[in-house]
Amino acid sequence: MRPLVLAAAWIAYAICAGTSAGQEAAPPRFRSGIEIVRITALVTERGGPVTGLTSQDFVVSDNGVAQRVAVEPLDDVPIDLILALDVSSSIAADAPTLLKAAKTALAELAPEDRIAVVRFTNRIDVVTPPTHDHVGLAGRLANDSRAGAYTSLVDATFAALTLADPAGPPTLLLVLTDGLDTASWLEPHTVLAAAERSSVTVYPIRPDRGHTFPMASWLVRLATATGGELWSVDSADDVGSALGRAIKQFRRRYEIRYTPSNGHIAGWHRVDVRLKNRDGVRVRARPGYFR
Amino acid sequence: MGFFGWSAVAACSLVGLLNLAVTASLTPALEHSGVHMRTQGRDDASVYAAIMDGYRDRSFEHALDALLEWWNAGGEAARRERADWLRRYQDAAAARRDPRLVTGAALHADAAARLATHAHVDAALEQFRIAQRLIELAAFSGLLTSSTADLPRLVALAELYVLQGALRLDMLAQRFEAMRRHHADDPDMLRVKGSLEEARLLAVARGPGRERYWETRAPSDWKDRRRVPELERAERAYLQSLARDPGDAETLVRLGRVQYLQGDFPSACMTLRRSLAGEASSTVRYWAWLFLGAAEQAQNRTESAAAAYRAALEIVPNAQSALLALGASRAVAGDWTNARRTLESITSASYDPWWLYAFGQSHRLADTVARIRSSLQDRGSPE
Repeated sequence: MRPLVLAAAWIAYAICAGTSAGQEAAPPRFRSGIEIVRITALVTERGGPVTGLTSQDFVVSDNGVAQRVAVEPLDDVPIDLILALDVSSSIAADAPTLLKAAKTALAELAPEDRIAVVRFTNRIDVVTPPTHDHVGLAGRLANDSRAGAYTSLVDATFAALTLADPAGPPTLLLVLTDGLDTASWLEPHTVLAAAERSSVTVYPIRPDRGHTFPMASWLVRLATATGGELWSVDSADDVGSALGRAIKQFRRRYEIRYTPSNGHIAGWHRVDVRLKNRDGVRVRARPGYFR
Repeated sequence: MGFFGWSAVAACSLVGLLNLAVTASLTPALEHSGVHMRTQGRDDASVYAAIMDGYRDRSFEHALDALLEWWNAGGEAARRERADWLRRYQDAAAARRDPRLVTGAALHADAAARLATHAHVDAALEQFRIAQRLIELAAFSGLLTSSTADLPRLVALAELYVLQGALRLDMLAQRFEAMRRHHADDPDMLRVKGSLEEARLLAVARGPGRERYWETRAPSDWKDRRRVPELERAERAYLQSLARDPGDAETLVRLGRVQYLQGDFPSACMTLRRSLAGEASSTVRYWAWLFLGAAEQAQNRTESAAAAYRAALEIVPNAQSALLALGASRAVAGDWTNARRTLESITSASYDPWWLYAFGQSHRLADTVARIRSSLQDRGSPE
């Protein structure tokens, strides 16, 4: 599998295989498709996003081999947003606030953006796969404050990852949770492996309860592996603004595309993204992909 | 009196007869109803005796209704007084070797189970305490017959199952230790012990009283679970249980799960396949196939794993855990399209037996209560 790889159009070649006079030309034959790696990167300087960058500004290596890249800012392209909402009993008191926050986040989307929503307790409920119907979804979220029971955070995160279209637009997954998991079947490392093979950027967002929580290190690893970040907010009331900030920040990213020049090497590819001749900037991108 | 006069008398008589018939048919039900007893102004001794006789005569549901209504009448202060009265009553019954002590033990244990199924765990534990006291008195008085000899063990197990169902791990550990000296080699008790150790690895457990969570030792990475003391103790308990009851499918399934968590995948596969060879409930069989799939997957035997997950789905179609497992194996292989298609079968109504696993043997509570009731079929000495 080439998770960050887009199967490009098959390239047709007309092959003339040394025909002698009077023989017809051999029919065209197709060579295997060229696959493209896509990574989103956030560039910040002194805490703020750096805009206006082009491919000339980036230095990208794949397993240590420099790559020729194309770069496009995300502020002007459609994106997919996936919301995974924890409505289990441990966070039940905040469930109405979180649902309201989710509705608020819709306001940050452009009409051409799609949104998918997964609610979870121990049960996973895909409210909608990716849709352009923001208004209809807002109504459904506002009127649905079901909560309770146990928590399948790890399972629900995986379910949310499956809603992404590997060949579709850049995708942001926001996981709203208090970080407890009491009922998942999938092992955390399995979902981490799946995330490494996806094309999604994950931002877990949790209201800070003032104490550590069991899934803290897993959420950090999940975010890091996908080029995202774990955010803690002071309370559930701050979640709405955090969602909006996360979406805005995602739009400040760049999509970096390249065709790997180091051949079809299977396995993990370490990707390093830096800026040329620029100190003091920080680049946040996923550390690699599986081929 | 003319025609109409006699007709009126006949009509009134007919209505009277009908009323009498209705009342007569309701009387047995009312006799068993606490409302009837309370409104009749009976004293506690008469009420309690009538309740126990109703239970002994197999009017189980009526007796339980009446018991709980009588027990809770008048609020907290009245209940405390009633508890004091009951202790005196029990002592007097023991002194006269009243066989109602045995009936009462079963009655209160059954009441506890009913309260537990409605999530009134503290009230259930109170009823279990009463049941346990009655058992001690009955045993001391020599009232346990051959058919009721298993009653103490069954009531003890029922209490443990209720505690498992409520995830009251602290209290479960205490009660288990208290009971262990009487039932050290009991395979059912050992199974509870193993499940208690597994439960300690849950991310959270429910605290006493209102819902309250605290962190336990659950590591977020399964690789940390090798050589974990809780797993070693669970394995030991399950092996001891199997030494006494080798065919119990649930014990084999739980042992297989523990072996998997310890990283011993070949042993896990063997144990789980052994569990599938015998009789088991659909819940236990689902667990067996699900866990077998995980053990096969851990050895990169993807096709065998998928077959096991599909076998689990034969038992419980649309079960979330098996669908997730199949989907995840496809995603990790890079097939996101089929991973997504697999998960489309998950609905918000999907039932998943995996959700019961953490609650130990609490699924055996109903059967245990049935066995408690049937222990009264032989009524022993007449009153």
